[in-house]
Amino acid sequence: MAFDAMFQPIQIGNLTIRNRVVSTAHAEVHATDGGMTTERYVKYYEEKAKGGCGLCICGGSSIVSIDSPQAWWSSVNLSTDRIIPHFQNLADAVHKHGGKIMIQITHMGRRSRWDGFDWPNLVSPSGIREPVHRSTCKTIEEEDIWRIVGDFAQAARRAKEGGLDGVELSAVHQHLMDQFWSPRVNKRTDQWGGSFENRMRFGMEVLKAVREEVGDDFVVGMRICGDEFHPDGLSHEDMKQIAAYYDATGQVDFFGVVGSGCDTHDTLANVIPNMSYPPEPFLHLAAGIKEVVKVPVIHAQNIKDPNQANRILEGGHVDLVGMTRAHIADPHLITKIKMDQVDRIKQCVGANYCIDRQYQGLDVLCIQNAATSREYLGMPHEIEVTEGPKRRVVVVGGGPGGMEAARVAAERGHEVTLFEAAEQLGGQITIAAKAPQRDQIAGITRWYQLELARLGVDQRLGTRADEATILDLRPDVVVLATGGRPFLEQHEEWGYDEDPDKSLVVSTWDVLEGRVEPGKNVLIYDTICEFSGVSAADYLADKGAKVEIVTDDIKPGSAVGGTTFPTYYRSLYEKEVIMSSDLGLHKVYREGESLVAVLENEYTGAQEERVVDQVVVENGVRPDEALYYALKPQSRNKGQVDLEALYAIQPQPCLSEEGDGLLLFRLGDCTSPRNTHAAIYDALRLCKDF
Amino acid sequence: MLDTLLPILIFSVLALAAVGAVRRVRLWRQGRPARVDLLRGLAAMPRRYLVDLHHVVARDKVMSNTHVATAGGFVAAAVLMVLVHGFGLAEGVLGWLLLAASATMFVGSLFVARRRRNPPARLSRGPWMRLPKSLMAFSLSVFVITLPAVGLLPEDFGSWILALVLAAVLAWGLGEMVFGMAWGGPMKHAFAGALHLAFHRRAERFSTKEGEGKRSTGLKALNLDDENATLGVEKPADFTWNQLLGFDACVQCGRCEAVCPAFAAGQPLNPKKLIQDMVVGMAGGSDARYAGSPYPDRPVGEHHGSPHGPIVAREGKALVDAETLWSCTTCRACVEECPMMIEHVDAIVDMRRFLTLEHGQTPGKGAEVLDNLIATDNPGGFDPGARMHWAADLELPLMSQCGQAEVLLWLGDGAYDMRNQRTLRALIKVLRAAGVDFAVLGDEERDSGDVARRLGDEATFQSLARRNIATLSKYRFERIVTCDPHSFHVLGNEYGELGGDYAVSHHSTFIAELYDAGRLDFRAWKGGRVTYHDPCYLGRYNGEFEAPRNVLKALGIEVAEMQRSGFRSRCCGGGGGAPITDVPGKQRIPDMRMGDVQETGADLVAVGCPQCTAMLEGVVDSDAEVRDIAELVADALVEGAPSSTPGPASTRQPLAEEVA
Repeated sequence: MAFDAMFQPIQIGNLTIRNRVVSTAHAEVHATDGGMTTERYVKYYEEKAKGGCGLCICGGSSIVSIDSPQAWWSSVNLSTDRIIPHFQNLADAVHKHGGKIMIQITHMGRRSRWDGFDWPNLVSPSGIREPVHRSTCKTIEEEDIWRIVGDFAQAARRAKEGGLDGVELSAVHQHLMDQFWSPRVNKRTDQWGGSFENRMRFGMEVLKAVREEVGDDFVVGMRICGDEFHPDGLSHEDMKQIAAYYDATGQVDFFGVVGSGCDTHDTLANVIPNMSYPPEPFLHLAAGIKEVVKVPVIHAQNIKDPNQANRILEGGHVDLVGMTRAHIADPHLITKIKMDQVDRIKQCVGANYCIDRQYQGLDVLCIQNAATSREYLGMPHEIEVTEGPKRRVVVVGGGPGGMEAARVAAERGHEVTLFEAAEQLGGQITIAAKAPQRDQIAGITRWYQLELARLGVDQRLGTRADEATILDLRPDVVVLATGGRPFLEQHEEWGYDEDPDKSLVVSTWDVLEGRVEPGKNVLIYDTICEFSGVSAADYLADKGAKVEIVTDDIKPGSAVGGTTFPTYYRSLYEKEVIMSSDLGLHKVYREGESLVAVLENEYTGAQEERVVDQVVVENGVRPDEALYYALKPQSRNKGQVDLEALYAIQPQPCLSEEGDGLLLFRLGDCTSPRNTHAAIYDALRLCKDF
Repeated sequence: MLDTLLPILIFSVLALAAVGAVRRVRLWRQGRPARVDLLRGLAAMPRRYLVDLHHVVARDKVMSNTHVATAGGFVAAAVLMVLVHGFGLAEGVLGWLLLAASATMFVGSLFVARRRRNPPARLSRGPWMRLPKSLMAFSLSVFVITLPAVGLLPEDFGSWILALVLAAVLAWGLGEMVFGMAWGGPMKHAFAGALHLAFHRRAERFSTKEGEGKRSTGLKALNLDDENATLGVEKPADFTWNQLLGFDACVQCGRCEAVCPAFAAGQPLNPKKLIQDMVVGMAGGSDARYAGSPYPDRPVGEHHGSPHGPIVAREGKALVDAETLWSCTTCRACVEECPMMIEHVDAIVDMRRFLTLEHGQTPGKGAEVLDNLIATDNPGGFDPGARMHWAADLELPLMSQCGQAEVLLWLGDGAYDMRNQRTLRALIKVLRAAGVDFAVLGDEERDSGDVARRLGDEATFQSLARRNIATLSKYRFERIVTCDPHSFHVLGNEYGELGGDYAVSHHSTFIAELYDAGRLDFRAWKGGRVTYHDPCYLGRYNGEFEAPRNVLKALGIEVAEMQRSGFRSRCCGGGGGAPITDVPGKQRIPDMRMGDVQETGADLVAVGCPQCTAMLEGVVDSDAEVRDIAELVADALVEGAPSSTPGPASTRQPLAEEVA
């Protein structure tokens, strides 16, 4: 029996979990109406339960007290009884499909923001500032401590009354409980600090109060870190001691273990390992905790593949595996394993679009699955075959938008032809995957390749579609997703020319695609500050070039998300790439064999020059509109998308109108340059009703 | 002159035939004893012939009429001939009757001749090719010699030369029809066939005045306690005498060959040849004179046997190769088609029993599967404690906790299989929707023993069966329901002999009843074209052809029937341990079956057996979806209020729910 380790039920407390796969606590940023688990929240978890997930621990950083703000991240609010009926909806939805659901509860202490809403004084054992949120805080008083201990108990009661199956006390990510644990932030000399027992006291009081409130027949777990990775923080041995200490009470039903602390940008990146990390990089830490505790141990961190998950479980390293991002990418992961369709699983590629949005207080979305967390809008994870007319659909462009459009149209039962000028699918994903440590992003394309082949889409690779080719196919619908090209011609002074021999500058695409030889001494001018600039810098440095990356913005890579820029910086600093800010590219000219780049300070206007042999410019994408304007006059709808219908997730009205001529739509970067998710979302919401 | 010649001829042929008959009987009596009520059997024989056998033969109308004319004419002519020409009782109506009988027989033999002009491949050639001529010789000569007896010709018509010619032709006819009958010619089938009907090992198969015969498909238990007896059949003489008699009844019509899935797949099995090999074996000799289709890829003339020699050689060749026996899927298509009521599957399993129990020579994965069954009580060798893992979230009522329930849901070893778990989950959803009071055995359930038994491991079968029976005896339930026709068959038809008598229903039967009782409500079918595959162990083994079709009809599905459906359904290739022994052929049986599906243009084939599902789903180049009836029903259930998900394309999430 394949995957039998994964499908072995397990007992946590008095609860039977149907398999070993957990969607671990993460901030969804979906709790609206003051932190209530409303429709979107419920549907998001229902989809996972329907898809077979064994246990969902929802509500990462759900707060128990009003001085731990929830509004910044729309997290769940357990400080009020108002939550109870919402929990009942949530519990029913998950239980209906055989899943179990618990919630993480916490007080975040200093790890929050104070500059909004109730303008709280954040609290922490010793009032030491937290760098990631730039949050200052007061030194917590005894009265606050007992208030918060009571709040924990009340929150647990609300979870129980709402029908949830358990609570997970968060003592990870430098929340209040592990702020007390860690000598790095707990400098107290009273009974709440100093000795091991004293530092453990707050957590112990919380545990006691919670257990007393909910009794034995309710799961209470604890999520802890495996090693804070700070010289002055808690080491792995410290964490084993802590875990054993709480385990000895017999009051904890499970431990969740996360490798790494996260109160700096660098350690934060470890917590949700992006695609640059190896598989399960911190499993050994969780396994170390499992050695010293008697109850089940859950571990999540870069476990994305069912074979990997099964291998970890078979090895007995931990008892349950967290496949959280894996479920964001594909909530039907378990179903697909059981259907013997492992190849159909949309596997998380570690792009961390989800978590990087979360850190900005934006709702969690998946870079490649536009249906995730939009279930409440009726965005489907499984596309149904249309009952209406079968159409001939031509999709032009095999980037993410075009691939999704082709997939969705084919799932609807239409006859789909997909044109792609390059020899392979992927569009800009293919370019992005060329950078060091970024190869896994090509997983997005790999899934589409498998799906499009399965669906029998006629793929015309290496074929640039023109007006005549398209019209020859007599299509009913044409979807253009032709993308764009690097926008180098914006400033004449940059010296860009279509003839590569004459052009003074090249694009990051030229570099990553290998169309130009890497220079020896390279200046990268990156006004966008997203992935391509730092990717090109990393790529060139990797090939031995001396690289300076310059931006007129705050810092190169500053628009790369919070869990990803640190891994770029680790790599760039190690390769001695120079990162310069506040300098615009004024002009490039040739001087003998060399190129001179004139840079101008954004704030003083002072100019400085760099003598290099290659100038790379990253100035974003210019939409490729030629085909669109060629086809537009011949189309019935004049290429227009009905925005009201699109935004309301309703069918385009023109689909049901009678008339001659093709329907023309465009999406993705050929309209305006946005990102992968935008292209895929547009494709799904547009094509799901074809 | 004929007056003198004919009685001599007739009585000497009869005498010779009697000698032959005695010899033939002695051949059969080499077999092991079998308890048969001889007199009652003989008394029942005419009815068995006229009703039961005719029922099978009548599936081919032309052949049936041909046989009625020829055989009826012959029997009448033969008796009348003895009276008229043997005893000279030509006066009155007897002569006329004899004329009529021989004329009828002659007409019949014309049809026999016509069939032999261009015989289908399944028919054996050899001596059978001369049979129509012999029939004509007999009937024509009898007719002509009777003409003077009724006065239509002068007593002394023709010359003595003509009389001699007539006598010679009659001698030929008599030789074939009477002498040949007892001495092993084609007409042997009449003699052995009649006695086979009388002394058949499954008397319950036949109709009686009280009503129709019962399906008798359960294998008979092997006595494991007799320390002196060989376990199973090693040599022809190890068969019971009435089995040997049954082999002798074969008419080599090849109906079995035409329906055998293993033969069609090019595996080295042909049921007709197998029976003929047993006939060779019981008399001793080689198969060189066999004139039908050989076992695919096994030339005729290389095998030989004797009544007390091994059927399968340990090394080299004997009467048949082991692969022949292991190719059988036990689908019973041959038995169902056999006009002579021969029990091929019984014979094959008897021989497999010897190979497995005495030689430990179960090929392919057979030994591993049997070891698994011995060690873990399931063929996959899975942890017995993992049997209910798939249902951890369903909170199924356990018999060990509730003690009784209306329905005991027998899960089968499909509980370990992810594909079948979907069927089981669907079935549970249906049972719950109908409010059925059911419980499961959970970890107390063991493999039913089906595979062990078909692989010849009677000991493991009996061990599993006895322990299952002991478990079942602890609880009270009205009936067992299962989605596995193999469990259904074994529990319902084979446990009885070991002391377990249960009412067992296939889930399709039960669902059909629930629907008829108004306990289920279905949405109208919106999918494409559907065909239905009859599982052998549900259809041919248990006669359930209607319930699955009724359920599909209730779902609003009009079944596009395959040409081979109902009692003539083609096996999926999954029965009898065939996928385990895995004897190679030229093509795979499930591929052929999915070809049948494709011919109907169906997008979906409904099945009712985990084994069929696995086999048919394993066919790679087929577009048709394979779904169990329970899954189709679960999908169509109308339960409570419909979900209020907005958006036009998202009203249903078909797959996820039932799999979770």
